[in-house]
Amino acid sequence: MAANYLWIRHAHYRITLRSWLKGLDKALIAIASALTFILTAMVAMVIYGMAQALALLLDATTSHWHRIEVICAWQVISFVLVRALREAALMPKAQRFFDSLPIAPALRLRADVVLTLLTYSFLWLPVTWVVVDPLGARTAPLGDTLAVLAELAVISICVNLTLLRARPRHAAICLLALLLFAASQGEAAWLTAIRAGCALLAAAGLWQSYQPGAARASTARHRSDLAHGLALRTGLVLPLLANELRANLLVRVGVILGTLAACLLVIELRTNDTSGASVLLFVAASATLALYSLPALLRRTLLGKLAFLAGQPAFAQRMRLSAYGMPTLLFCGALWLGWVFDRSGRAGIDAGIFSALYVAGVAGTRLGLRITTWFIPFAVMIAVIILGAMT
Amino acid sequence: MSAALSLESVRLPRGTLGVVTLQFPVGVHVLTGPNGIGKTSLLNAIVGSLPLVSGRVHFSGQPLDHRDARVVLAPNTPPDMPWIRSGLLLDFIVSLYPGSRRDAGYVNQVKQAFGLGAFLDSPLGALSAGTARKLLLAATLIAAPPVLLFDEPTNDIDAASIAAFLEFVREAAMQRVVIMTTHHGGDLGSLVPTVHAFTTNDSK
Repeated sequence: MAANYLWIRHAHYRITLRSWLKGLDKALIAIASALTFILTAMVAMVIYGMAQALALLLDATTSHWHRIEVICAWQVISFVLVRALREAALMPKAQRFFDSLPIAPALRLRADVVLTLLTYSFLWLPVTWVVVDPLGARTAPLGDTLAVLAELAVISICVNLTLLRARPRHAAICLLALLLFAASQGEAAWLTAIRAGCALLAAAGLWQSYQPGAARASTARHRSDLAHGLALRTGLVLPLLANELRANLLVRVGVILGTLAACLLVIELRTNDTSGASVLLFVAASATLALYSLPALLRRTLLGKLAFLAGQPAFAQRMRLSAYGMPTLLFCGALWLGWVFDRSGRAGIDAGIFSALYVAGVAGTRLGLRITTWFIPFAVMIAVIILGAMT
Repeated sequence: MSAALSLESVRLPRGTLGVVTLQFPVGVHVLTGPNGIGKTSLLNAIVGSLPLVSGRVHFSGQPLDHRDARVVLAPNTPPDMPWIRSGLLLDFIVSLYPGSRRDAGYVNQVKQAFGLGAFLDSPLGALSAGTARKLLLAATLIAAPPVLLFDEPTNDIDAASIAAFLEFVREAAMQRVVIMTTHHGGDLGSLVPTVHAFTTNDSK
């Protein structure tokens, strides 16, 4: 097969994912073997829960707030997913090289959209559930169902691609389309037309972002004395987080906030008694998983990039304080947020257990123990099951 | 005790230098030798970023610890941080050295001589190879601890900047140990350095 642009992008996607998943096999096997009996039920429950949330978009009696919550949740989950796989799906490091080649904008757009559709992966399961409707619970006609779900998918892909390709003006158009789509609830013909118009508007914004001259040149940065001083005092950890690891940090924080949002949404939608619902358990678990490897990542990145300064005592001292302090502050913030919404009455025990796991994870990654990469996810999963069963 | 840097039976994990025993008194020293022999590794070992297989490094008779603010290195490639503001990188390197020459007159003189003024607000990734190298040379000269190491300092930079650099080094080397690696010994000839020419399996 000739090595055309799409083929190269596909090959990069496959090879990158394969290399990323190489180290995760042990964690997956450990989790799957520990959860043999309930894994299927858990996966089915997650898919069914997401399908139920999507079905709210087709129900004329759904409140405006619930509709907005579902659309925001879909947007956040899809963004986190595409951002997490950006290197594989969008191949950003090679963009400058591809920019120098005569590749048609339509071909680039096609490659990005196809690989983003692949990246949505498990999000298509609840969509398929709503369309196939195995329980016969859908009230809306199939045509309307397909139209609404297709419009949501198109707009979210447009938002994600314009944001992740750093096209702020076009992203603003797509976000406006998403906002209008969320606000236009109802079965009237004009509302249906507005929703279709939103999808077209987002698609036009995305198409424009691929045209020559759409990208803005980067300009010299303005110096802020406060930011400058903070950067020096934190041993460059702060600017590293704000620049090179910004998206990485956003994904980690997004996972924690997404877990909190999901907990609150489930409590809101559940019809049985939620007076003893545990929020901290899930928020602390996601915070442990999202943050335990961050201090080691910060330390490794800085020491790797500034190897010629690695021997300086002041560098090590400043970096140590901020590389461990900032993720720990984020972890404490997540615990506090979970605590505020927790109704289980045993938040202290949950917080203590997950704090111990966080500390063990940070120490393990600092010492370079390979066992940490599968042991901490496994231990967190077991802790969630045991503590969850006590609720 | 004289202010000299000494390597005692040093063996590096990379390169083909073998066991090295050398003295570097105050003044300019140039290390030459074929590619891959271990010149850059030797500088990295002195600055503490490359652990030694065996041997010790001393300065003024005292061991140079793994983390020591008495030595600075200007590497031969800028760090892979294209997002960092050039001025921030310069200030950060200087801030790690308590005894640095931070008086405004000298700092401005160095920045002006290297023509850095217009680039300090630009991200490192937007600088040319020569300007990025001059930024690291300037940071090293301003940091000015007792031992200054330069890895291929004259690569990529223009003739006027090389002349300015040599002037700063000449002045710094009156009280400090300055060690440079190079493949272009002619550029540094005016400093009248002590030349240490390495060959494969060199043992001194």
